[in-house]
Amino acid sequence: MSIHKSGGSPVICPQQYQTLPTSIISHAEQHDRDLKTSELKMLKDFFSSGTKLLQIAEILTQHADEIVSAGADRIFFGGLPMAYLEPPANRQNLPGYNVPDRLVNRPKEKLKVQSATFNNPLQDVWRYLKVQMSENREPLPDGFRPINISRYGSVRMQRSMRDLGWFLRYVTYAIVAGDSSILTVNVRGLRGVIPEDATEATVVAIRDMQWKALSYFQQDAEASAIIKQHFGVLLAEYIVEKPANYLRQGVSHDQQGLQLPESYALSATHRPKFVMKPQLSVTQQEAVIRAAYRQVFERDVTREYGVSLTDLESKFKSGEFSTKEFIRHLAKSRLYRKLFYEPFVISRVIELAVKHFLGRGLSAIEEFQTYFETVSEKGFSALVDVLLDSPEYADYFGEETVPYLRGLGQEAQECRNWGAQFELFKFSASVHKVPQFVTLFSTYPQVWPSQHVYGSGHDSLETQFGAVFPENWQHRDRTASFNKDHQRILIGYKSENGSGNSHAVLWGATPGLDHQPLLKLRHVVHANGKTPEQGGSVDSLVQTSEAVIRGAYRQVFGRDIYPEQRVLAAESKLKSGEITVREFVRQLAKSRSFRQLYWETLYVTKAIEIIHRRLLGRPTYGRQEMNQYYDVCARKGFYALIDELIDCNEYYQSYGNDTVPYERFITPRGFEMRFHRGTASSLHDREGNPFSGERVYHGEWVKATLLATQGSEQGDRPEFRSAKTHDVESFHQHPAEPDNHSQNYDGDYKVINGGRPIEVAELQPELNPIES
Amino acid sequence: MSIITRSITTADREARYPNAGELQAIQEFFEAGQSRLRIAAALAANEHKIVENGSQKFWERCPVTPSNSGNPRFRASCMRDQSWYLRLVTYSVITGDVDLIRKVGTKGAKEMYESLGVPLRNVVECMRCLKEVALDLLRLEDAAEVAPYFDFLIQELIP
Amino acid sequence: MQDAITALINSSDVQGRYLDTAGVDRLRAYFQSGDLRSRAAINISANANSLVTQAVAKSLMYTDITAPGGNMYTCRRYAACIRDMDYFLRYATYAMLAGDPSILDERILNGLRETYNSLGVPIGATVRAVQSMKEVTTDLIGAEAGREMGVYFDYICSGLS
Repeated sequence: MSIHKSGGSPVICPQQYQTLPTSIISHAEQHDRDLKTSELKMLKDFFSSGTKLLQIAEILTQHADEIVSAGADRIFFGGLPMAYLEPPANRQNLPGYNVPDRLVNRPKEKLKVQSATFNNPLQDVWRYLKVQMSENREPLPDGFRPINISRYGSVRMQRSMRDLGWFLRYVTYAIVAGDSSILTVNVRGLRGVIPEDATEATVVAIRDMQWKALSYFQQDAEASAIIKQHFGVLLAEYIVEKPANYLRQGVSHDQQGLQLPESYALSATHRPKFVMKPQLSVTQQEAVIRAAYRQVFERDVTREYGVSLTDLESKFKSGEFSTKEFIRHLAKSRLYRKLFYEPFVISRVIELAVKHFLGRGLSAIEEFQTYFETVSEKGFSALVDVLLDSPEYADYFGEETVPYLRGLGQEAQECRNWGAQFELFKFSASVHKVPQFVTLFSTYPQVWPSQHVYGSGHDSLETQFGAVFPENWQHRDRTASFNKDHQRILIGYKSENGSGNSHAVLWGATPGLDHQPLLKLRHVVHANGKTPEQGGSVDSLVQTSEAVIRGAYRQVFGRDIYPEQRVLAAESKLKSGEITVREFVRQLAKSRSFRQLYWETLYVTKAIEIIHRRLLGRPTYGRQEMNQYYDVCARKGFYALIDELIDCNEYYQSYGNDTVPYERFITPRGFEMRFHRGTASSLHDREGNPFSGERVYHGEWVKATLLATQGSEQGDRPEFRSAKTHDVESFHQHPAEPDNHSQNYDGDYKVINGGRPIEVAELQPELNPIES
Repeated sequence: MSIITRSITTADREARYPNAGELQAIQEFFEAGQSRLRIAAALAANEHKIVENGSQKFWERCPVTPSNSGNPRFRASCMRDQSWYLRLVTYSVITGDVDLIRKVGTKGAKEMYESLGVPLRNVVECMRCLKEVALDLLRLEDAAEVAPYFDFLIQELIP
Repeated sequence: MQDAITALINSSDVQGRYLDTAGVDRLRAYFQSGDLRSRAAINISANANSLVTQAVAKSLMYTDITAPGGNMYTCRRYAACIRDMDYFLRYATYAMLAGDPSILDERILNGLRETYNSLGVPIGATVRAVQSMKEVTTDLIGAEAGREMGVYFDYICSGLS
């Protein structure tokens, strides 16, 4: 299946939240500069206040239970909320686990005592009133009604208490990080997850937790400010309604629309967008120019190469060029050609150009094809124009913004180019010469085979003889090795209930040809004077000579033939009963048109393959079988090859004298070409096991066993080949008496009873003697 | 691409479900499906006749053309190409979209015919003949349904 | 992408022949099921949000995966999970309308395993969620259309596993 084709799974560690140091450092990194004095001062302040922050966090952690219970007591009544707060799972035996102080110091009896008073209603009321009367608390909102624990249910209670504990824990994290982003990222949107009816109560509880937390720092204005700040963020983010997803619209029909949850966008490293504006100071303008170099040349070329593009730069600064035009000039510069055009094959040039100018990897093979067409017809600078003038460029970067990489966290990513895109975004991308996207996409199944009659894609053979694939570790899954000892897997027909069932017409159809019944000619009087058996005369499979002639043309030539190409002499002989169908087929194959079409214009391997399929109705098994035909072709020529095929045992046993050859086997790839996976017909196969992955091969066709792998020394191929067809035929025609075949060959016109020779080619044991 | 795939890809570009209007169009397409199938079947059944008559008409109008030069191979290729394009037209009738004609049929075809030494004007004329012959066989409303596909094909091949 | 129509035409075109009887019968059946398909699509798109939430609540919520250390722990990942489930539902609906699963391959499954492996998303839990989405969808649109949708949900699952 397609999903086994892999572009690689690089380990991704997306930035999940910011701390003060990371945000300062990544900001400087984005500008490709050292830290400024002001930033260093911020860092210094943060570090010097570190002990203070840790102290605050420590105190809050120590009093965690009280703080949580302050919140919970305010909104619940009729029980002890804290009894529902489960301690964190016991991880004491796991590596790296430190037992928190508050668990160690927690007096165990305390809980027991409390639970003893659990059901005393009077005490509950008193406790509740006492909590509500405490000093300095924020007043309850109008109409707020506390929640009755017994009505609320213990499962929901546990979840609520867990969430309250969770809020406090994240506040302590944020305090230590010196940045509230961890709260923003994780709390926004939570309101949709926690049931809506608990929203008001949650807000009240958080306020009370804040009140309780502040009560430990009454003398400390600095600490109070810090705590207030983070609780403020917590409350504000919690109240936000379900945040919208960021939508990345597809720009063509080949692209899908993608959504990025807001919290992902928030948590990503903040990347500044460099926008050129006339009112910018000189240093700021310089920064924009350097950003453009970094995007287009992947490094700051002025510094490294000492390249001077002063003329361009000054025009850009003076506002004569927009950013877009500046980028266009850089892209068409001699330097860009030298760095990213000349050293690469076109496919890779396109991939890199899309990275530089659109800030992403290629999205689909169709997109690649458009660009490829542009480059090959009009050259590289036309490609630059196409990319820069595209609506996508205008949407994302407009006239003034310098393009940037639209990576993970910047916007939603497609998965079909996942691995390749991450590789492309790496700095090392420009040393990889092999195209990554095109090769990846080509392993995904193509819905549209390109197939103009004269086009290279319109090859009637799926075997691609003669194509040489280099040994390449990256794409090892694409081409299995195939040498002289290998044999092809062939797929044959399978009968479900034997012959004569009601679906005979459907499954009896020949693949690759019109679904027409088996064509067999019946003469009233045969040349040797015998009359055919009476039993067969009513069989609908016996055809008129016209139909047989048409069918023979179709089989031999692969299509209906035009009047100019007909072999009229042979036709009339057939009609008059002078020659058998077999002889007719032979004459067609030896005709001038056939020789022209399938012999003279083709190289020998392909010619043999095609002729073999037409006359014997199956692909060749492999190199060993081909060898003997090469021999015939080389020593005796075309006509001898035809005779060899038509006179062989297999032909006799499969078609006899009077049946028009038909396709009996095809290769799996041929099967796939004809029956694209998951066609509409798969819908009729709902009963099948959906997880088996074999749904593709539903219906008439079944997968054949692998004929042989390698190492088989076969001197006597024709013999076992005929043995195999013999078995197949006999099973369907004469299940009881497999030995009466001989009757079929001596001119006795026995009618085949309805079915087709239809079984999987089970050649494994015979062809692989190593096994035995 | 059929109307169905087209509306789905459009919806997908904006990451939304097909809207009421699109579903309406799809439904109408489903309903008209039977008659499309009927037209396609009629064309397919008369393929030989259409190609034969089309060729005759073509040679009457354009006597000087490779396929009329007496070379049986050129003759056969000319008829083969006609039947090939006719088949594409039947496909397009069923999908209700010309995309297929362009993608499979006409993209690069001009260059190809030129390189093979077939005068493009004659190819276009040949397609016109094919169209006339094919439409003659159909009822008026069916012909009106099929004509645009032939027109598109001809338009694409015009040098 | 293809639909039932283009799928059939593509495979006929590779062989250079007109549509055969069996194929035309299949198309006819597809056209006849059109009403069912578009009604199901309308129904699903009107209820998409609640289907996704139900399916996630049914299969993933308050299991190991939402506990600290799990891949759906914290709201941020929950949002991504909902987003992905929403994708699956929407694309399954597209595929059901088209009568052909190829869009699932093209836009969802190609590369999905790599993506999930990269991000450490557990495949088993995803499959479980898709299966429960199949159930809740069937409850909404009825057995017949539900079977049809089930084909595509199962296709997604088999592509994942």
